[in-house]
Amino acid sequence: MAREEELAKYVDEAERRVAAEGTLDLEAFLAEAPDELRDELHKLISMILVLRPKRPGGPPSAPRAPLDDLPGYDIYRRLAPGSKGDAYLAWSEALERWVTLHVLPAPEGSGESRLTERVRDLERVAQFDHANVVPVLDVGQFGELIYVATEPIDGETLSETVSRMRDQRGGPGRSARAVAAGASGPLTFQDLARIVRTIALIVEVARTRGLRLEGLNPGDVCLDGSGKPWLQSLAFRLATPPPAGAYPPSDGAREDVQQIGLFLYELLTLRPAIETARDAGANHLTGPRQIDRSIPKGLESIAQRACAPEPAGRQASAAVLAEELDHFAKRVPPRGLFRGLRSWLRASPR
Amino acid sequence: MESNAEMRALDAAARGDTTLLGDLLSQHSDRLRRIAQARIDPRIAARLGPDDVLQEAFLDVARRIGEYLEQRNAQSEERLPFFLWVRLLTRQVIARLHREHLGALKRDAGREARSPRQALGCTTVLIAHQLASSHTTPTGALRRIEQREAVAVALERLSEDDREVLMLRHYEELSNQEIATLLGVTESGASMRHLRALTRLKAITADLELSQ
Repeated sequence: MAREEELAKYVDEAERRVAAEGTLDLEAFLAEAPDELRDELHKLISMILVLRPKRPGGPPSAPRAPLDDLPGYDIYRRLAPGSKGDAYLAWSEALERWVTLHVLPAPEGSGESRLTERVRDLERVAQFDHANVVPVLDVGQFGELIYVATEPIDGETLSETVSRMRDQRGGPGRSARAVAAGASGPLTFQDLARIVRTIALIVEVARTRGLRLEGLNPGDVCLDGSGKPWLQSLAFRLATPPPAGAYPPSDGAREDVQQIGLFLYELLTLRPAIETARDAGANHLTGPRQIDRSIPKGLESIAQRACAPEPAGRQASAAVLAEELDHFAKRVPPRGLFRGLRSWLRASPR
Repeated sequence: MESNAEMRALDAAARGDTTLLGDLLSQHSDRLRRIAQARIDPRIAARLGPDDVLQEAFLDVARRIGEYLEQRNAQSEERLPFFLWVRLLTRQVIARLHREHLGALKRDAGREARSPRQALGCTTVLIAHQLASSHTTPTGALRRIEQREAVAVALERLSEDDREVLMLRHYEELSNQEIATLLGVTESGASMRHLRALTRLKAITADLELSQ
C-alpha cells in the first residue's frame, strides 16, 4: 500500500510538470525517485507521455512564473501581447481596481543601475497626460522585470485587427478597407486617416514635453468601443539631446514622422513595412497600391512621403503630417485634384 | 475553493454585472472545447463541432447562473465549483444534441458510413486517436502508429470506470482535486484510482505488444 501511495505521488508530480511545462525530462525526473520505484515509474510515466495530448504552442498561456509573486497584483489572464512586452489583466490591491499590467523585459546591457534608470525614465514618460494617451497608474521593478500598470481599455488593438483581417483575407495586402469590421465597427480609409492624424497630433504635443517616439506599431494603439484611439505611453521615450555639432541640426521631428509613416504603411497594406522592405531588397518599400489597388492615391502619397529614406523628403513635422491626413479625411485631396475630378465625372451617372 | 478571479466574477454577476463572467468563461473555453471534442459522437462530428456545443453551453450558463448563485449564496454543500458546474452543463448539452441528432439518424443508421475504428466505440477510439497521436519523444512514425493502435485497443479493454478516470485526467485535464469532487472521493483516493487505471492500461498495452 505504501509503495502504491509513493508511486501515485510521483505520477501526480510528473503529470503536474508535464501540464505546466508541456514536457518532462524523464531521466532527470527518475533520478529524483527512490531506486526501487524507478522501473515501475519509467513505464507509468512513459504511458502518461503517450496519453497526454500535445498542445500547439506548448503549455497553456499561463503567466510567467515570476509574475505569480508580484506583490500587490493578482494576475487574472493574459491579454494580447503589446509591442513592448506581455500584457495581463490584473487586480491591483492598492488601487482596488482592474488594470492592464505590461511586463517589459530587462533593458539590454542590463545591470541594476540600467534597470533603475529605465524605471525612472518610464516614470517621467508616465507623467505625459493627454486625452488620447492611456493613463499610467503605476511603474515598478520586480526582479529583472519592469512592470507598468495602465488603465484597461475595453477594445481591440490595431495589431489584433490587422492580424485578424490578414488571416481572413488569406494573405497580406488585401483591401485595407480592411482594417474594416474591427471590434469597433467598419473603418473606411477616412477613418484610418483620422486615427493616424490623432496619433500624429499626440506625437506633436509629446515633442513639446521632451518625448520622442520609441518604435510605434499597431500594438500600441487601441480603439475603444466608440472608435476613439488610445495610444500607450510606452510608445515614447525621453528625448536625448543631439550630439554637439551634429549636422544637419535635428530635433528628431522628422524621425518621428518616419515612424508614423511606417505605422500608416502597415495599416494600409496589412504588412509590416520591414517585411516588405526585406522582400523587395533593402531600403526600398513597395508602393502601397502595388500591394492593394483599392488604397487611395492621396493616402499612398502621404504615407510614401512620411516613409522617405532621407529626412528632407519627409513632412517637416508630425503636425504637417496631421494636416495632410486631415485634408484627406475631409475628402479634400491636397494634390491631383483635377485627376480626381475626372475620375469622379467618369464614374457619375449621366 | 474559489479563486480570486472566480469570486470577483461571481460577486459581480450577483450584482447584475456579467462582464467578468464572460471573461471567466473565455478563460475556461479551451478546456471545455477539448471536453466537447472528446465527447461528441464521431457519427455527428461532421455536422456538430465543439464550438456549437460551447455556444449552447454558454447560453445555458446565462440562463441558469441565477440558480448557481442562489446555491452559492445559501452555501449549499451540493454546489459544484464553478468550472465543474459549467462542465456539467456542457455534458448535458452534448447529451441533448446527441439525442436530437442521433435520433434523426436512426432511420438510416445502416447507411451511415462508419469506419472500423468508430465501430469500436466512439469515446475510446476518439481519446486514443487524439491522445496517442501526440508524442513527446521521437520514436518514429511507424512506432507511433503501432502505439496508437495498441492504446486504442487497450483503452477498449479497460473497465468503464478506469477509462473514465483516464479521460478526466488526461483529456479533460481536470485537476486531482476536481476529479475527487466529481467522483466523491478524497484527493488521495482519486490519485490511487488513476494510478491503478494507468497500471492496468500499461499491462494490457504490454500484453498486446508481446502478442504481436
